[in-house]
Amino acid sequence: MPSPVEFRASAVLALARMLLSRLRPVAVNVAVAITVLVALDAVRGGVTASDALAWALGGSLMLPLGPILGVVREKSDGSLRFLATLPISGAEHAAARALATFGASVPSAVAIALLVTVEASALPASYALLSGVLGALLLTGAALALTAVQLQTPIGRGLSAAMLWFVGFVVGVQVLGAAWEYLDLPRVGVLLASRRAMALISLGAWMAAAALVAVGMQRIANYTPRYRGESAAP
Amino acid sequence: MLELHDVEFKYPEFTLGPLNWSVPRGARCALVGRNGAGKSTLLALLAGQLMPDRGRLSLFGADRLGVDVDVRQRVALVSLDAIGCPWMTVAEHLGFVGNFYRNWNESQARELARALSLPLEARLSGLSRGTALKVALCTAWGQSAELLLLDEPTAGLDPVARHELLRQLDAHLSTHEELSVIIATHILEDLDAMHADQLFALRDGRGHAISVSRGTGDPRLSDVAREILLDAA
Repeated sequence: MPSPVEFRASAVLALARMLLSRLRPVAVNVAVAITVLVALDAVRGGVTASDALAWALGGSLMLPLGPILGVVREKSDGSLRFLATLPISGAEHAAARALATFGASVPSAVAIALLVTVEASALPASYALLSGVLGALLLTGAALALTAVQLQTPIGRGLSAAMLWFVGFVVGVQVLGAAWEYLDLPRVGVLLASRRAMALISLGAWMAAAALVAVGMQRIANYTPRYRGESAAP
Repeated sequence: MLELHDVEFKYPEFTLGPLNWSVPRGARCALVGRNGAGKSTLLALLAGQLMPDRGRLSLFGADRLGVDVDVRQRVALVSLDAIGCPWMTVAEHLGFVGNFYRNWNESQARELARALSLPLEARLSGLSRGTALKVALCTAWGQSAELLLLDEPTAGLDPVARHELLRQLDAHLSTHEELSVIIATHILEDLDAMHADQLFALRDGRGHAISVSRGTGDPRLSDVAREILLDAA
């Protein structure tokens, strides 16, 4: 007979495994799409590690769509209503979603870490590892925050949030590209090379990841156990 | 076992309560009321999915049901709205659910599944309404719940399936005397078939508890319930 703690942990893992099995197809599709695009680029005339890194980073930003669309599906087919009746606390439910989302983002994070190692071979391997972990955490945080929004809003509005995420991503990339040109790349490179700037950027990214994960999990924990369907009536 | 003291739950245009109700261990209770009377809300309150806005709701001595996972372990809500994950087969569903209940008894769940001729390899998404309800009952059996909350368990079932389900329910209750059951239904004859001994009628958000003896010559519970509902109309 497992102890209460072991039992609760195994329940969380069982839910996380089930949720991850639902997210895996999205992660695989994104990975396949990026591989095909990078291969096409290579056929057209060579692809550098930095090109591949850009594709991997861009593609990984699509991963938060997986959990969002997953919640839409859970609401539509009634499985969320069922999951809400299970004897697990909101915090355990949120932990399971966080584990599943983190698991789905690991392949992208590994790809990013490997490409960072190739691109910046002067950096120690630990930097690449940390950048991979940070990338996975940022993706998990973004996905959890958007999942919380999706859980708390009717299906239509949640889908609008997903579309906004997609449009925001495209616009954001354009704005960053323009700013990059405007700011003059070499000067930014020098700035990034300074140890203090790197430390500040890293600290900000870790804090942003932690805040996104915490807020997302807290909102999921508060809302999920009380979910009774889209149109709960007396 | 279950105590409600001035329990209220508010929707924007409807307030359920204040409700006062006491249910002893092993009771068979019927919950009746017209559409929108608050039956599903009351079941959701008892299942810990909603928290009362006012009053005290105590189940197995615990007050804060919504956050008390241990209480949820002991309550089974059988409702068509929450059968399971539709992509799973019945067998996968029973295996998955078993991860969450400390007293999970897979053989008990499968025994009922066999008795009800449930197709274990069928996906939940392809099941008829009646078969889906049987899955929910098997889940409740395996859970070894101490309180069964049945939300319209026989609605939409053909007469044979309905008879079989009520027979299994009655047999299970007879062999588990500590098990309490609260059944919400519009099919009043179900109340007689499961030998309910208490009626809780919801009218305009208020509840009225009526105890019924099971002696011969006493009015049938379905007749009492029908009278109350017609009176409310």
